[in-house]
Amino acid sequence: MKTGALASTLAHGLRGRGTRFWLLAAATLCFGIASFDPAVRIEREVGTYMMVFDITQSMNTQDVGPADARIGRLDFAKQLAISALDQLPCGTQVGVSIFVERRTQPLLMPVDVCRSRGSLADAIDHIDWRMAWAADSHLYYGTYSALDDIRRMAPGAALAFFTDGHQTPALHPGRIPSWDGKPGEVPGVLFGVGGESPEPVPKLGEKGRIEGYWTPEDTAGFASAGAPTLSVADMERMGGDIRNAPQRAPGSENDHLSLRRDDILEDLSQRTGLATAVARSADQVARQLRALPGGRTAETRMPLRPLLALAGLALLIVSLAPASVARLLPARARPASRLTPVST
Amino acid sequence: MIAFDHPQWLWTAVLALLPLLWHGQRTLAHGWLPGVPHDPASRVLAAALRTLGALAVLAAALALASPHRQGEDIERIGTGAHIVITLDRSASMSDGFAGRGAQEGDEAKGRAAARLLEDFVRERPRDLFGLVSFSTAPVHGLELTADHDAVTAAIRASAAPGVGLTNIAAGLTMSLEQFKDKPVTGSRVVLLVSDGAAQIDARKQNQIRRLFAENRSALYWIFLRTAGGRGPSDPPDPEKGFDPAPEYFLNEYFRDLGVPYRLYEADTPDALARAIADVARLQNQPLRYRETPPRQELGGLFMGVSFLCSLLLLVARSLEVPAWSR
Repeated sequence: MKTGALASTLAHGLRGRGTRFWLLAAATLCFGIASFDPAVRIEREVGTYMMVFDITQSMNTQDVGPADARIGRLDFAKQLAISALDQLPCGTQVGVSIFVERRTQPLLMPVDVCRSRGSLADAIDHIDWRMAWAADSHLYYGTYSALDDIRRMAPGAALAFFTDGHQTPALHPGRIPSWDGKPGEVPGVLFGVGGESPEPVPKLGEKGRIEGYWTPEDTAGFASAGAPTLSVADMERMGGDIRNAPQRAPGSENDHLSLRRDDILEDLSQRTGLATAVARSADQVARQLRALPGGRTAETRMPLRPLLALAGLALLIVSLAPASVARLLPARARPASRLTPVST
Repeated sequence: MIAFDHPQWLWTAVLALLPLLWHGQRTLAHGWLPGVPHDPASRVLAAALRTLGALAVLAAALALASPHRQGEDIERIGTGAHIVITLDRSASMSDGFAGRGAQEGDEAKGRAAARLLEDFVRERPRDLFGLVSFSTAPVHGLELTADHDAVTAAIRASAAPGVGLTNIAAGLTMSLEQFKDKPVTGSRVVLLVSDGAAQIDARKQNQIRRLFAENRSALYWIFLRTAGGRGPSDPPDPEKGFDPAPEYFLNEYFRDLGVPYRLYEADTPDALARAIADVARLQNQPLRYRETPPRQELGGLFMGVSFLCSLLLLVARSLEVPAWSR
């Protein structure tokens, strides 16, 4: 019965001291421990992502964001990406790259989202359509280039490509560039940015003001990428006035208007194994990126001081609460009645 | 001045009023209160205990808001520089060097430059670095920053094959803009790394000259020679007919800028390494600069105050009398 005796002694001491004493003692302990900066190391699944931004001119189309304050697609994508940084756990690495013409150009290889948050936000914020070295937009080549960059320079990273899917000049059917990689080898998401109805593509001046819009006359002058080269014999066999017939891809009459081309993103996804999604919120972008396979575990430090300080604060205040307030607490936490008769 | 990382927690300081109202002390019934003698010492003790409680809550609330103090800048003499690395990312940067013995499969100029610049950054932990690259258009990489992880990441990114043309004027303008409206707290350098040159028109020439003068920045040009290409020190040959020799004239223009200027011609990775070492040496001249001391975390201090107050309260509580003694 030794343990029983010990317990009863303890219970007696506890009763003698009163609940308020023990609450205060616990508060003191919490404050004491929190004075030294205690922390626990927790392991978290984190990923590495290469964020690629399509900076071709169709991305300047102002058809995304809240209905009463439409902003350009690129600006919207940048906002989402910067807010998404804050929703990725520390230890996650993010790199930044831009796409125009047929190629991607990495600006920043992956760095830690917490330690280099300022630099990442700086790099993303400064992305601008004026960084373009050419005006064409061959999205298939661009996506393959983004995947190649990852394979060559940042193995293990996943791709987050923000694009509207608009290609200029349009491709001839059956002339779609193929990819020599293995689908799914590099995981990633193609985030579609843009509205669902065709909108005019603005021409921006040097200061970023809209100075006009692309017209059918402008786009009619585009080269027709991938048009089959016909010999004279072919033309004769096919009859008609082939030589003077338009050589542009069918369906490209409305190339001066732009909308989010989910069909093209879908086709790209079939070829490369990348997922597709419409980019709506930073929350969703961060969630979809975190769901991608190929993460690694990283240790992050979780400071305990806020937790201990809060607990101490609550305990201290409860220990001081007058009986009328304490009665509101559940019965077991209620301090011993102050009118308990004391044996002397 | 004390600043807070999470000022929203300061609202919990309101709770410090509670201990002033509530004492939580054991009360004992007494038959006739007016019969108790007036005791000023007890009143002082009661007030002190309430104040201790309030102080404990207040200090805990402040600690929750992560307080810290940012000291005044201190003037120091040392070696610190603000270096904007201006990198050529034109298509030709993927080609090899010119030097003797160059062959297929040698390291591309862009890649060698990236590798050596990374070492350069690593050896200069106190400097701020900015990064601008240019091909047909200038591309902002990073604002002047002390985040060297990001700087090396941006330099590594530049090792990707280049695209487009060499638009030096736009690159230089963007680099110089980085110094604008920033305090001069270190020597300023634009480190231009390119493998070609372009003619800069008169208007741009004047603009760049003005920007250099306004921002008091030095210029170091590391020229990476391409096989069969010419360098800035080869004057145009009148025998050969029309010869624009943009490298030569650009060098002449830079020499005439009126700011400290040096040209390094590198035709092998070794020569490039020597050039970078020389820049490092030049930038190690002592200079006066202001340094912000690392911030001082005060959370632990406030937590300690809470602990002390709480401990004193605990001592007081343990001295409480359970009943009137005779």
